[in-house]
Amino acid sequence: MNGDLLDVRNLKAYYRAQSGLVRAVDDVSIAVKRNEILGIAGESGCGKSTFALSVLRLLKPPGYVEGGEVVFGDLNLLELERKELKTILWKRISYIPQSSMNALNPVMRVEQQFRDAIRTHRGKVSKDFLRKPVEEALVSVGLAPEVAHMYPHELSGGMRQRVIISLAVVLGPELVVADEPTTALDVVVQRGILQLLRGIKNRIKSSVVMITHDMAAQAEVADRIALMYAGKMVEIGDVNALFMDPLHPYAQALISAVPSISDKRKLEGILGLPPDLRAPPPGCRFHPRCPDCIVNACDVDEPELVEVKKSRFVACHLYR
Amino acid sequence: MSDGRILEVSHLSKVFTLRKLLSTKQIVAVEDVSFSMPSGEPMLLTLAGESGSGKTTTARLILGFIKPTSGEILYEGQNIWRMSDENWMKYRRQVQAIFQDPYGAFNPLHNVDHVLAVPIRKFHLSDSKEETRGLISKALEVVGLRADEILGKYPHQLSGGQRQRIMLARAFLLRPRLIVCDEPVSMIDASLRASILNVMLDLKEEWKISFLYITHDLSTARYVSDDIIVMYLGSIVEMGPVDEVVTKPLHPYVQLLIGSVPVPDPRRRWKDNVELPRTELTSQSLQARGCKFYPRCPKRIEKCANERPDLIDIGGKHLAACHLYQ
Amino acid sequence: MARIFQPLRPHIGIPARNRKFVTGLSFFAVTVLVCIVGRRLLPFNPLRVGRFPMDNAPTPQHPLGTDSLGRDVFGQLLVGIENSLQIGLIVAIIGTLVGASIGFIAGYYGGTIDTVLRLLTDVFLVLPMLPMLILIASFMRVVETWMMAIILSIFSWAWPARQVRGQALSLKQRDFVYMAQLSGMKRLEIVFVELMPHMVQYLGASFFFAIFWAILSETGLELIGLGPQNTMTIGMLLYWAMFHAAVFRGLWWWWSAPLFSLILLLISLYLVHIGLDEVANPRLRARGK
Repeated sequence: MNGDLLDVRNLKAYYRAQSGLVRAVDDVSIAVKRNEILGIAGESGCGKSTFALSVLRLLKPPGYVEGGEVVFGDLNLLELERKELKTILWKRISYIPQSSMNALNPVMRVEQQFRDAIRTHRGKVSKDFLRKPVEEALVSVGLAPEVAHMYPHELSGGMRQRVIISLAVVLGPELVVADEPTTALDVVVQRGILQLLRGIKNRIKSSVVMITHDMAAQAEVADRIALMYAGKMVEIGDVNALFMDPLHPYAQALISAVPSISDKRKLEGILGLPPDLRAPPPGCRFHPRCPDCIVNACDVDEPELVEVKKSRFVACHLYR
Repeated sequence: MSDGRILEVSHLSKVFTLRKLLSTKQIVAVEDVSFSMPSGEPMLLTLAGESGSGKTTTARLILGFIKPTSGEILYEGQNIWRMSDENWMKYRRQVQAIFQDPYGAFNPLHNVDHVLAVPIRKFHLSDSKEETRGLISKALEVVGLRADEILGKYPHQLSGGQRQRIMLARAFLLRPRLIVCDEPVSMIDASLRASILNVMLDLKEEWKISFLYITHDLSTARYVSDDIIVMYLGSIVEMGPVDEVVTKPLHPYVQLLIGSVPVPDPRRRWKDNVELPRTELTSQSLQARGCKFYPRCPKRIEKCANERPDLIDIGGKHLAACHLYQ
Repeated sequence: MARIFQPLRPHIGIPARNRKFVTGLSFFAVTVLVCIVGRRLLPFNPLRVGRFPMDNAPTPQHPLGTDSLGRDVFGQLLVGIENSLQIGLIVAIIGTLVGASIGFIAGYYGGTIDTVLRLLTDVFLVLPMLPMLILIASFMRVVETWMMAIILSIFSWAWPARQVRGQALSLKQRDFVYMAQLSGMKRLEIVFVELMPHMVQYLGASFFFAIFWAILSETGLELIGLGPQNTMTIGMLLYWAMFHAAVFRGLWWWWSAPLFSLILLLISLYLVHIGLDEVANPRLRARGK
């Protein structure tokens, strides 16, 4: 897969819980292309957050990476020394964490937070040298330059989120990973944030990996979507293809369960519950809830992710 | 006596006073809110708004958990704060609620049977253990759960969706006339949300229970509601039949809101970008005069800064509080 | 009363799975047992002066040696631990009960009651215990055990009050309290059926901390000579050892025995406290174990 920005191969990340081993991410492969917005979608517990943390080596115990490769250029991120990893993180790949509103240091002004980030990568820099890039960064997310002198608690949730986004792009990374960037934000602010993420791709030509369970947000922003279920990747495809013509039964069910403000068609929920990841069902993990389950195939063999049409991947026995 | 209305909210206001050491701050959470829900046909009314709109406070006022600063809440014509004890118990039974956090609504020390058995006991709905068990099984069935899978378990052993359904079952047990739902599905996964919303619709159609649905999620609001009320900073800015308000919003705030809701259809993306505030608006909510939306309104006129617009009927029971229509 | 504990019964297994709790509790239980039983089994009265040869290093007959007054150190230690525990227990019970009641009323009812009680609690938290005690001691020649207990109790209720108030504040906001109201429960009923069982969990941790604190404070006071002169406690044993210059005279068994027993006792009490705290507080539970 040349030309890909980031290539994740067979990633496995587990949690050692009191009651057993939780297979949160179980053999997941996906490539992030250059200059695209890849949406990683799925409901709670599907492993998408664990996936992001593992790729960036931010996963903390009791979680750990069991295996796989994360190829970035000619480096395998999982095998880098801590020192080398530090030079890449933030400069070439940046991360917007899930509870990002608390990711700002409450006792530092906004400009100081920038200074820390920049100093780690460009060495000691003077206050004056910083002023212009910081102001530009803030303006690029629609904030007034005065915000640089403010403390996080003086800002609203939406503004803090914008500060974090500007921090994430100030060094011009090639890839930005955003984990649930719009939780707890009001609708209008959410739109602004999502549009900012789109802007990152268009303006600075980075790629964005947006992780969210909100399918409507994915539809507005993503170019391609990778859908996860119970630790597995079940479908990958262009956003139009996925919404108009979903292939995997879970994708079909999910799309028809999402309400839309623009129509009133009847919604159908999915019966049953997601599986316990300590003891996932044999074969396809979705088979107990699947209306198209093929006996003696789906409950026995795990389907592999295969390319069934151009750039469309599905892990389902219906498409062999 | 009741003149055809289950619930009537009349000029309701609630002001919170924060007493600090040297200063007192007043927060106007709800300001002069009036609406009603007719008896007769069951309806699902949505109270929509973002954070700070006052919708949750309104819900708590209606449920009688907090006292209004001014205004009245009438249940079947009677002011809930001036009811006799007997009528108050009747009110307690006939107006039930579902809350946002499916975990927090349960006491983690008790198993889920407790939350279903207590109302039966307190409202004397059954004379025997068998009858209680029967009532509980039926209620669980109505919401799509199986008694043998649910009873005896503790809250942490069940999923969020199951817990919310148990809460609906609990409310249903009391055969209420109105169920107030405060963000019932926002903490639940997408695939389970639809089922809960469908249960609510079932309860409305089959069992003739009205709902007051509080949410910030306009997509689910459109799906379940008959009518909708949109609140902004404590006041009602627009109300009317949901399809009307969503497709032809009148108030500029509601227009902005509806336009900003993401649509799960990649062919219909936002055409233009919204502009977010560049810096914190300092005296935002303390507009003494004038329309509360004035600082952010793209269509404001001079009148808007000085006079607060009244809520008037623009046609077809579609009301808006905006000088553009007066 | 029983109704408060009933909802907790099915959950009794949970503390048993917490390592810290079990370790601490076992050690504590063993110590208590050994002291109570051991003291009854002693063939002599360890407090009688001059019974044995003085200043003897440990021997098989006197496993912890003898002191300068001809008393067996091991026997004194058994008596001492038991008395210290007694004082500790009394102080902890009074402190927890009084403190929890005040804290709960303050947190649950709020308003002026809360402001007043909170002020009271803060005052007692801030009062410097040592100078107060020195003041009291300078007015009285001899301090009895019960006086120690009362004085310590005056200071011991403030911390539980603060903890419990915090708990009450957060609990009363929880949705399940609103649910109980919607189900027709009256206020008092909610307090007993829904809230009290919760509080008991926290009180457990608080109680053991109170014992810990009481023994520590008591020993501290005794070490500087403010203790009950006529009673033998761990602290008094240490006091007498220092009074007779045991350190300089090389009578290491006299001071090291009570010192190490004290440390072990305190550690075990603290482990029980942390263990119960982890059980009651799930957030801590995720980290520990």
